[in-house]
Amino acid sequence: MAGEQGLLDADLMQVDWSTWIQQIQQGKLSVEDGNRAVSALLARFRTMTKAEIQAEAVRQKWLFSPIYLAPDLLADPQLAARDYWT
Amino acid sequence: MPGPFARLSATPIRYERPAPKLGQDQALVASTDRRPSLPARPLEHAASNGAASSDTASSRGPKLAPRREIFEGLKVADFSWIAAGPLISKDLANLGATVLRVETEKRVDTLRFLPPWLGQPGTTTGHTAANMNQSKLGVAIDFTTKEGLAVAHRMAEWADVVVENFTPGTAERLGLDYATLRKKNPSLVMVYTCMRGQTGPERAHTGFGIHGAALGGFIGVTGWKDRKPNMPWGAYTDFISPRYALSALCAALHHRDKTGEGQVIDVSQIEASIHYLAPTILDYQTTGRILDRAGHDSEWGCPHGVYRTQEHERFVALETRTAEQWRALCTVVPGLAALSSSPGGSALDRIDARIARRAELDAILVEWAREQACFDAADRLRDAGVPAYVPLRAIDFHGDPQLAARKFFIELPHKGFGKSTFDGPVTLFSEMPARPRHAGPLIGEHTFEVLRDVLGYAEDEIADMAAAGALS
Repeated sequence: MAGEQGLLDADLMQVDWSTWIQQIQQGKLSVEDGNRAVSALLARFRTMTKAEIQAEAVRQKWLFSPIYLAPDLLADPQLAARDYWT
Repeated sequence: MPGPFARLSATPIRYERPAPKLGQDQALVASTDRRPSLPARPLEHAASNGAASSDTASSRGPKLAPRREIFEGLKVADFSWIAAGPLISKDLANLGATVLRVETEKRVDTLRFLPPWLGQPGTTTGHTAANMNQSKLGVAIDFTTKEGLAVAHRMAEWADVVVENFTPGTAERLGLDYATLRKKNPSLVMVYTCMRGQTGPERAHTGFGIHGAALGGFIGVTGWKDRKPNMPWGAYTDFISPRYALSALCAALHHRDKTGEGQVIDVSQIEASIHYLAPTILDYQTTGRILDRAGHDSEWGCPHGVYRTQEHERFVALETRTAEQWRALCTVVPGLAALSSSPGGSALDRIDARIARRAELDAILVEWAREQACFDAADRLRDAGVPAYVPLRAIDFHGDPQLAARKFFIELPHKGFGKSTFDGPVTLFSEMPARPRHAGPLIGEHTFEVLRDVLGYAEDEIADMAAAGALS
C-alpha cells in the first residue's frame, strides 16, 4: 500500500516499508518520517469502508484487517462464496 | 447460522434440521429399538496403511492385539507450522500416533522464535515450540530439493494423515497437494488449515492472529465502548480451530476405517471460530441489534465484573445472576446489604432492576474490593454462594490446587534445554489416557532414525540426500 502512487510524500516513497521498524531502531529512518507515513495511512483509511479496506488488503496483500461485527460477517464475500451460512 | 466448521470432501457436514423443542421427538425415541446393532468388540490396531479395521479386515487377517492408546498405529506426516496445524497433531501424538514433524532449517518455523526461552534465545530453547509439538519426531526436509520432495512423497505414502497449513496454492506448487499424494495413497486423509479456507476469492489472504481475530469478529466485541477495540490474547483463531479440525479428522478416520476411502478436510480458521460468536450473529439477525464492546457488562449477570483488590494488580472476578446469588453477595458486601434493605431495595432481587442501577452497584463493589485480599475475598464470596474467582496470572497456575490435584502439569525431557514443565492433556480418557513422551523435537532431531527405520531408506541413500542438502 505504501508504494501506491500519491499516498505518501515523494521522499517516503523511497523507503522499504517492510523493515521500517528495524530502520527506526537502527536510526536509518526518523520517528517523524514514520509518523508521517502512519498519518497518511490513517487519513486514507478514514475515506474507505470496511469492505473496501478488506478488498484492498486482499488485492495488495496488506497486513491490515477491518474489525468485523455481525453485519460485516454476514456480508463478507469470502464466507458467501464458500456458502458458509446455513 | 454459522455453517460447517470444516469441509470434508467425502462426508460433508450436513445441517438437517434445527435444534428440537423440548420433548419434540419423545414419541420417536420411545418407539426406537434400543438394542445395540453390533456386539461390542475391542479396538484393534489398524491392519495396515489404509486398511479398514472393520469386521471384514479383522476376520481376514491375523488376530490383532488390543490398542493400548487411542491413536496407536496411526501415522501422521505433519507438514504444518506455527500453531494452527501443530496443535492438531499434538493431540494425536500424545494419544499414541506416530507424528513426523517436518521442518527445515532453511526457513525456520516462526514458532521457534517465540518466547519463553529456557536459556539463550534461539531455535533450540523456545518453550512454546517444545510445548506445541509434544511427543512428535523431528524430521528435517527441504521440500524445494528434488530429493527432499521425494522423501515427503514417501512419507505421505506411509501416512494415514497429512496435516498442512501452507498458504493455499503452496502445496500444489510444491507438489504436496492432496491430488498428487493420493495417487499412491488413496485412503490418505489430508487436513488443510488456513485463515480463510482453500476456496473463495480470499483464499490466499493470509495474516497473523490479529487479522484472524479482526475478520472473525472477536476484536469488534472486545473492550470498552469508549475506547479502541481490544485483541483477545494470543492468536485466537489459531487456538480455537485445531479443536474443530481434530474432531473433523476423527470423523474422516472413522469413515476411512469403514470404507477405506480417504478425503480432504478444509478448515478455515475463521469459519471454525465464528461458531463462538453465533449468539451475537443470531441476535443481529433477529433483533437488528449489533453487539458491540461492553467492557465487563453482561445482560445475564449484574453485578458482573473484575474488581481491583488491595494487592498490586490483583483482582476478583464475580458474576451475580440469580436472586439467591444477589442475596449471598449482600451478606459479604455491607454496602450492597444496606442498599438491598433500603426502601424499594427488594426489587434488586431482579436482574433488570440491578442492571438499571449497575453503576451504583459497581461503585459500591469497587470501594469494597479495594480493602480486600484477592484470594480471601474470592473464597468468602464462593463460600456465601457467589460465583467468584481470582483472575489467575501465569505465576499462579503451578500453585493452583485444582490443577495440581488433577496433575495437569507434566514434566517432559527436551534435547535443547533439558527437563521442563508443560501443559498436560486437556482430555482425560479413563481407559487409554494420553501419554506425552517428550517435549517437541529439535529441527530434524530424529531425521536419520525416521528415514531409516520408518521410511525404509538405506543408510547410503540417507547420506546422499544429506550431502545434496535435502535433509536440513
